[in-house]
Amino acid sequence: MSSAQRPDGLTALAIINFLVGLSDLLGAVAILLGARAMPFFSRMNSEATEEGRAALEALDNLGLPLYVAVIATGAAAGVLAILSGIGYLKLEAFRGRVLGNLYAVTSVISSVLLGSIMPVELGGGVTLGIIIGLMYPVLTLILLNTTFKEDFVP
Amino acid sequence: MRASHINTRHLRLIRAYATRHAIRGGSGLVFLLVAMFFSLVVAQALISPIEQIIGTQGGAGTGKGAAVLEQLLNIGRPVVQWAVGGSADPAAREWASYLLDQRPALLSILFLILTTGMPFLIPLGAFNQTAGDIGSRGIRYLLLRTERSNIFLGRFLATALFTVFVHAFSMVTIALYLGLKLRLYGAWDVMTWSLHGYMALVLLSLPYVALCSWISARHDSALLSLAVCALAIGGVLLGSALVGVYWEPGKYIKWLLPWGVQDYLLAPHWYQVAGAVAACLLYTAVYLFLGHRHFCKRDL
Repeated sequence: MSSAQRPDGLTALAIINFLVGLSDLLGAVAILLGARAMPFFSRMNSEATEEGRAALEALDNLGLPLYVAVIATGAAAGVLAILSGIGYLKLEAFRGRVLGNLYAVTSVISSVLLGSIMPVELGGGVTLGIIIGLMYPVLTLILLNTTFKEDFVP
Repeated sequence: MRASHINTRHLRLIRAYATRHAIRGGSGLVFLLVAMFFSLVVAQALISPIEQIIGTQGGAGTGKGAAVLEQLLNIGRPVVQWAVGGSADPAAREWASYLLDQRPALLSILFLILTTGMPFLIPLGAFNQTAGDIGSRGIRYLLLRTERSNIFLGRFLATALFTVFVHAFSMVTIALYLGLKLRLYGAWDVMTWSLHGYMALVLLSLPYVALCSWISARHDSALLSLAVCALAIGGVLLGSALVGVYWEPGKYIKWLLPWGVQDYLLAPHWYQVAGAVAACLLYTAVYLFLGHRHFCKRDL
């Protein structure tokens, strides 16, 4: 499909998907590295403020399943965002619309996980950060199934 | 057909089509994301320190959260005074006190930041009202069916409406979050001041959208239109600041755009707010007149 038939909005969506996907993958790597650096953080406990100590304690008490879930959904969302971005550019129905919807749902699940399971000391709960994180996936879901619905070629 | 004849049915059709296709065109999507992201990130930067304290100490509106807010206000008060007129000016002190003590302070600081930053983002959604179609000669097909006035004004109305919608979404999200989650202020105070701030954002956006309409009508390239819009909006403010350092009357350069009046949309006295509203509408009318006149006379 030639780029002349692709709406500029879908091109913009693809570029943003690449950026968001990269950011999600880097976020997952950062969480993984953070888990590996826990012994170092624990040694800083005595020098931390009251809020810092609460955050360090909450970080220490996070279980392995939660770490795995957060890292896995974040990484999956990142990979799906990049693949669906390629699909948007080529107007492919499966890689574009299907994987795009899958990315949006995975990203929403990842945000909900962060909001509902992560302790408040670590930014959990319903926060503006979670709402910002939900903004783009929800917009993607709406646009792929309304505005750009007819643009993909099966 | 006379270029100046306006047909409301054509105007409505062009406005509806342009609004629906604002997202498909790409510029609307980018503006939507950037404007909402900017509003929510600024709100998060202001709210999250207080929220974290409340979260670790337990319970919204606790003494600890109010104490942190008080500390932030003491730090922010001189900055707000400087922003609205200068620390030595008694009127600026009164204005800062109105914003921080008589109104929800977090919302006031948020509105001050948004009214300063939003004009720089408006070009992202308003730069391509007619420039792209002029450059691709696609506008000639519309000229066979309707008058130039309808095209120009219809596209302006579409862009203005889209901007109004984006501001509404951001403001509702922030107001609901502040009112329902944080609960540092009363619901009525949050609702009324949020509505005031939203109207201020809408009114200050209109002149900049009209300016972008004029610039878009003057150029054949969408990218050039974006560059000129951004340079015009930022350049006037920067020029006023730089020239004003060496030549006192230079500080009035900013009055070429609403930079000189837009802060008064949040002023403590009703006549100041009314004057700012009238000024914003006058700026809008002037830029629309200039853009419409150019669009109707130029070769398309």
